Amino acid sequence: MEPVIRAIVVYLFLLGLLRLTGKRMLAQITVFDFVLLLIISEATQQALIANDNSMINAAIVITTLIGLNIIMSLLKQRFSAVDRILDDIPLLIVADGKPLKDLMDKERVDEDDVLDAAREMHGLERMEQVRHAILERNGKISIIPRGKD
Amino acid sequence: MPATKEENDFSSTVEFHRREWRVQRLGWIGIWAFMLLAVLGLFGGSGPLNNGRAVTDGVASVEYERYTRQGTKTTLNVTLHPETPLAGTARIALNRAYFEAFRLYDTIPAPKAVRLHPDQMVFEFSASGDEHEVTFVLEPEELGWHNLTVAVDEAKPLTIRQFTYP
Repeated sequence: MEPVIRAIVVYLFLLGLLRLTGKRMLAQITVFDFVLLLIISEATQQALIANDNSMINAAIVITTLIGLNIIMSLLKQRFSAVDRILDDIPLLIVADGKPLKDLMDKERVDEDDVLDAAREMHGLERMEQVRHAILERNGKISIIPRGKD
Repeated sequence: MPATKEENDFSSTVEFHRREWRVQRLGWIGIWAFMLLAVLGLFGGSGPLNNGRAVTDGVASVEYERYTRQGTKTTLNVTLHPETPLAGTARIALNRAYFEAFRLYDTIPAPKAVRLHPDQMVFEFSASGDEHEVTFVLEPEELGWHNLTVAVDEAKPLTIRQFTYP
């Protein structure tokens, strides 16, 4: 029973903790973030397997994590409230060429991030060329450019 | 009108996916069943399926794990009941073959003597008329099914089976 409980606790703990870090955490993985992820996985491994190095223990932990993920995906599909809580919702951060500063500040995004995305996706150079920018659930910024008309 | 090549391609793609989804759903049920059985103790650890208990002629009871994991310590608890005719010394005999599959780490309390017989290892403890519990701490080394024979004093020996997972 313990490996199942350990896996459920670690899954929910990581889910909650990563949700608290905000959308941009995943989109901006720096070298330090990468090292941090490795350290987290190392610490998590200890919590998951405790002192039991048997194959059956690993199989139980892995199956529990995957089984939970399937259950979560079904819950998200069925209940939009669960989907919002677990996966967040997109946020409009530039409306009709006008950056919404207070929202951007709250999400720790600045105009340079929007212009980065605008350059990469559409080769745009200035904010006036951006009609809308949306901070997506995965932390990436989508740009809808102004039409030529 | 006969179906075009694109329509045939599309329907065979969808059919492939329908089969894939069916297999996936069966796989999910398998995953959840595995989780449930793990919670119930079929793969060791705590859980009703794993908790084994046997009584030898009312003289002693043996508590053990039915399913053990290689390299992970397990315990075998032998409780000697007060009515056990001990005569100052309690003898618990375990079959020698068992110790080829399980390494003995500790015996709590320590026995006052251990005697080796061709097919048995006999642990002797000083005992009064009270209830006593003897714990053997073991580490499974060999995989598969193993038989353990426990004999307490003159009581009829008891055979239990344990399975060790990799």
